Amino acid sequence: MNTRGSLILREPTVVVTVIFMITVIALFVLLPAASMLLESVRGFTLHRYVDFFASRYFRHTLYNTLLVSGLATLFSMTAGFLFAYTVTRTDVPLRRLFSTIVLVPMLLPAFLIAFALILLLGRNGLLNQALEIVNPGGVRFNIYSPWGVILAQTLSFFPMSFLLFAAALSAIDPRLEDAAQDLGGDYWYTLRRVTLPLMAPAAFGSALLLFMFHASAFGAPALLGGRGLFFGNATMLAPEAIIQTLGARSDWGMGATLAVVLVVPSIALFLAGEYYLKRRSYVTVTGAPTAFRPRPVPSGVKWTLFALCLLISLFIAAVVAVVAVGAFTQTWGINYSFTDRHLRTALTASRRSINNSIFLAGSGGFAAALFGTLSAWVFARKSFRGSRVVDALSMIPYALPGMVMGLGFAIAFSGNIPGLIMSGTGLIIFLNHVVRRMPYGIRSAAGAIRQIDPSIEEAAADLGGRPVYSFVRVTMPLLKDAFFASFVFGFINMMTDITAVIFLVSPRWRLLSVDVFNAIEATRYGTASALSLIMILSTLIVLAVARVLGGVRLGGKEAG
Amino acid sequence: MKAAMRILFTMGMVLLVAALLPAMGAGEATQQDAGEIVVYSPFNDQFMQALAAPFTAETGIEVLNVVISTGETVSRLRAERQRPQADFWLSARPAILQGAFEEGLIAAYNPNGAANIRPEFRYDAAHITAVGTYPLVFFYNTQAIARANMQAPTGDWAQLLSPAYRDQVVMPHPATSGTAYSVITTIIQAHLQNNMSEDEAWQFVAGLNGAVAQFTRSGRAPQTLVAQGEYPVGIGFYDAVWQLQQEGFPLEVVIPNPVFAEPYGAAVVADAPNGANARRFFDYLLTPRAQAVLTQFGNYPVVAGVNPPVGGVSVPTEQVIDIDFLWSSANRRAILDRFQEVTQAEPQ
Repeated sequence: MNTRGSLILREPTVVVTVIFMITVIALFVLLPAASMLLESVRGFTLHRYVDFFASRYFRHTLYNTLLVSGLATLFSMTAGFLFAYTVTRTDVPLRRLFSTIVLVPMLLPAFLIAFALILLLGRNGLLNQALEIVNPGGVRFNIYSPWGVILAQTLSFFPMSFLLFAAALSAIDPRLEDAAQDLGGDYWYTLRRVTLPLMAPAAFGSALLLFMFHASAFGAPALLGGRGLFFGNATMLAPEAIIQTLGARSDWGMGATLAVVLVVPSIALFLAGEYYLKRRSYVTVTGAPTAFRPRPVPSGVKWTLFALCLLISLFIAAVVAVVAVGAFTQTWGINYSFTDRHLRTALTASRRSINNSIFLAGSGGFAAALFGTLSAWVFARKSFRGSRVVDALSMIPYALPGMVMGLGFAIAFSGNIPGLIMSGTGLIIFLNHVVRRMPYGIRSAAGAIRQIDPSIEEAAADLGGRPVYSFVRVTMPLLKDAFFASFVFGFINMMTDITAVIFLVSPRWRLLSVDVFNAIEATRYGTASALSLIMILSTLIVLAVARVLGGVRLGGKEAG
Repeated sequence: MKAAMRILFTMGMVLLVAALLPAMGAGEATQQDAGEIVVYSPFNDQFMQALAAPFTAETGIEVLNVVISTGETVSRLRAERQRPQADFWLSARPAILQGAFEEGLIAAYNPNGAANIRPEFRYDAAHITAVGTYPLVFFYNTQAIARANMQAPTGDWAQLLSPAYRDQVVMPHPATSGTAYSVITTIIQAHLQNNMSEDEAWQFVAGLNGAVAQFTRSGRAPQTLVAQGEYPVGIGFYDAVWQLQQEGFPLEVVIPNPVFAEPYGAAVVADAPNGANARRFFDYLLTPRAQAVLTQFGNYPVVAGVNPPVGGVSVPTEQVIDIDFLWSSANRRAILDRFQEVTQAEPQ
């Protein structure tokens, strides 16, 4: 092979891939982000930022975002650690079941969990109705409060901290704990002085990531925080940005300003969290716990852990159950008799939306997985100058909250730049989807490729296989799992995404998730349940098929 | 290896483009498609589909609806003025239509069948045509009002200012909701027509502010909040109450005195991409068939010969307040500013 000469002659594939990648990132990541930034200073003025910090109401949205996210992070880490510790370090019964149930919220968008909480804990919710029977006129749960938002956010994101803690716990050599106990340390001493300190890096890294995810939340605060949170009658930054732009004010400049206030700390936290986790080599967002030797723990601890895990698991089961039951209930809270009218309404009124969502999630998930896998393969096998820069750039859309990508797309492609008008089309949703999920494809494929020793491919070639043969028979099967994993991730996140697509839907391109959200907001709970059920079932079917074909396990969840 | 990579890459690109094309094609087809109209309306999907079904069956024109409040519609039409995205706007009061027409957001059109509109619902202005109507009512949740040990509303506006009603009422916010704007103009006109001053009207609004626990963004949110027992009493349009009564919620309705019972109209969006289809849809709305669909959702017909909604309340004509929509439209900005000043309330 000619080692001199230009790169384009030596490695045309690499050059084409890199150019394609840079074009995609420049057009669909940097351009929308820059458009958003420019919109916030449109007219060459910083007055919107001045207005933001001068307004008590806007300052309250910032304080609410910080406090709600802080508490939700604390609770999701506690619950995540509890489950991870129970599953990996104890002999608590049913721990296999717990480790499966804990992953269920990963399939559900946060706004759906908030909706289920309304059905359970709202004024006409099941638990409040039960309380009314037990103690008429007594204390009731109030889900429309900061605590309701925190509960929904915690349920939605604690599985992520479970995965991080489980990975970190399984990386600890059990002999360290054995040694501590052999040297006379009791259970509590070992936990306090050995296990917990070893968890510090994972805890710090996941705290940063979780805080960023909670801070960019839209669905739960929009549905449960409308009557104000901790500070005044203000909500949080992301829902307020959507109210400013899509509401009666139609103030895109102010919406963009709120988004910038949100995104700058978010990216900083995300990068810090990623860097910290990577440096400590406690990465593996997708790593599920493998088998561990269960060890006996004091029975008080054991049964406390069992009770807590059981309670949370039952609550998760109830969340799914109320939505399924609600789909077939006449009028939730009033008349619990059976009906199929909501399902019929959902299938007729939202027929187009369902088709659109499945079409865009399918084609977009496919393109994201394909392009992600291909890029990862090209980068892994070929090293060239600047490969790390391209690699880092391709991760940006993963760090940007969905709202920013949606708002940025809506501003950049609605006629502000001549020739780049895509608003009102399906294409804008498709591209947004592909760009946002591609990093996951790259990442999961890169992991798989690192495990493929190039000598396997070479061995196939040495044994007389032509390149095509070695690719088809050796490489493809090895990449297949990574491809399916990123397809499933892309499909599920596309089906359930709301924060980005709420800016991109149009009369001809309505989406199922937005219909669900609107039905909840209009308190048409029967229709909302039926639509949610359709959404959940379609993701489950895809997951099941991918599991059979590609051995896919549940993976990551993205920021709102 | 290199050959394999090239094959894989080419395959990938082909598939990527193949995946892109249908999406792109479907996107391109959106412009100037003769078989569709886009309708902005606060009416929900179910209502809009029932209303559109006979029209689509007859003309083949598909109706794509966007559920959106009146205030939001006005700002969206303004934002889209250079490149209109919608063709038709269903349900706005004459005062709002007047303002939108003056801004050049809607086009005047006199639909076929306008001659069948009952005299009391006719307007001289060519850009205002009534389509349906329902009164602005007080409603309450019978269980919640019993729990709160309150007296049910009688229809007397002054009752809302009594101490027992403090923080018990929910109504929409006039900045976002056309419904709420009707509430405020009714209060002001009731004072002016009783030879009281506008300042006295705003004193009443200040008192009402004490009774209102929440000003909602949407005009139809109070009905569901009261239906669910979040608040005992609400103010809003009757159609949404009627729909929730059909669902089995424990709601009762009281006609206030005076009562706002102006009809709502519709309009073809100025420079609508599918203007011809939108005009056909307007014609259709005044047919007895479309009017009958309206009554299935708690609306009252404006053309003669169509029955009112089954079990609907009757509005005593002597209680209906006469509001000059030109006054209401011309003073809109000032009224909204004064409201903000008096209440200091944000829509939630």
